[in-house]
Amino acid sequence: MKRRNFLQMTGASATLATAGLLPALASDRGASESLIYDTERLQWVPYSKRRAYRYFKQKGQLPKEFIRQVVPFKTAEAPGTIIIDGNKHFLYLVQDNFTAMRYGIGVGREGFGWAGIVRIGRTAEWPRWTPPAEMVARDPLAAKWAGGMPGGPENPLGARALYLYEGGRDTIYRIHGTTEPWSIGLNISSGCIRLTNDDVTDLYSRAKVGAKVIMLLQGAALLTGV
Amino acid sequence: MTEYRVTKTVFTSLLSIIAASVLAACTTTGSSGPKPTVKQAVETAPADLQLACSSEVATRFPNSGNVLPLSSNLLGADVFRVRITSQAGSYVCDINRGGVIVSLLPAAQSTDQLAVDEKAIEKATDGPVKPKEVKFF
Repeated sequence: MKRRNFLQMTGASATLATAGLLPALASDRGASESLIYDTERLQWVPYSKRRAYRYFKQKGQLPKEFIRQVVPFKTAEAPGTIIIDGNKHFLYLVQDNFTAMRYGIGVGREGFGWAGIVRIGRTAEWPRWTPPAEMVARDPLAAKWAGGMPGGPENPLGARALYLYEGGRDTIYRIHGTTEPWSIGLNISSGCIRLTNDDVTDLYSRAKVGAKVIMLLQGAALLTGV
Repeated sequence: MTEYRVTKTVFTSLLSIIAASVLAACTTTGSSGPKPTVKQAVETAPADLQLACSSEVATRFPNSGNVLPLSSNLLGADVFRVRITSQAGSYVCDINRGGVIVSLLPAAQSTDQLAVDEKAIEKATDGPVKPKEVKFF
């Protein structure tokens, strides 16, 4: 799919990709592609928004798969490359010796996912968040920050942001932190890739501006002209 | 009195059995306990295997430009099928869990062959899939 088509398809909704307030109001639809083992009922159940929240609240941490860890990762991609597996909710930062640092992520919910090859155009600490006009028009909470929300613990972009560019242009998608750490592992955002604030801070310290980012997501619209 | 003792013995035995059952239910041994906490409803190929396929496309078809895996699925027990797009066309890559590329074909010219391969691989699910072409790792 060409870029133009992609933009037409996602339309105004794609401009909400700054995530944050919108995901908090989003429904559970499309968020249940993962299953989690319920140790009380002894069965696999959908890893829904409600269940993810309960898991995090009860255990005080994410499921072990989504906790940052070094994993074997054999690839021809250069160290420093970021590879995002949207289906499995993992972000890999390629390292030396066929390994990668793996982080748990939250990705775009149904209709908001994308795939493509982009690069990190710039990065920011405690980034400012400016809601798009469409969100301001319909959401009183967002309207409050029409002029931009300063960075800080309440800011939906969290502690750090890596801005994704394609061909020198801002894609409007970002890899960023979150005020909702329990949402890692869900399809919940408007297209951005979210990590916990601790993880995005770690990634920020390792990733370089200009680094290649490969986004894999089954069935998603293509962002780039591949 | 004797009847009381018998009843008491039976009751005690029942309690022991119930207690043992409860304890057994609470005890999990190594392999039977729930180890994973999260799994995917649909099994896609691991990211490194998808990229191994796209890398092979870039190597074999140097004019393919940007190469990106689009989708994947498990084909039999050991082999993933990865569909790849590039600026030069689409490809289908079969790769096993060990990173061995079983086949790689341009999608346009391979529809019939892929159907044959798919059946062959599914049939071979009971045994190991033998690598036919490139060993990537």
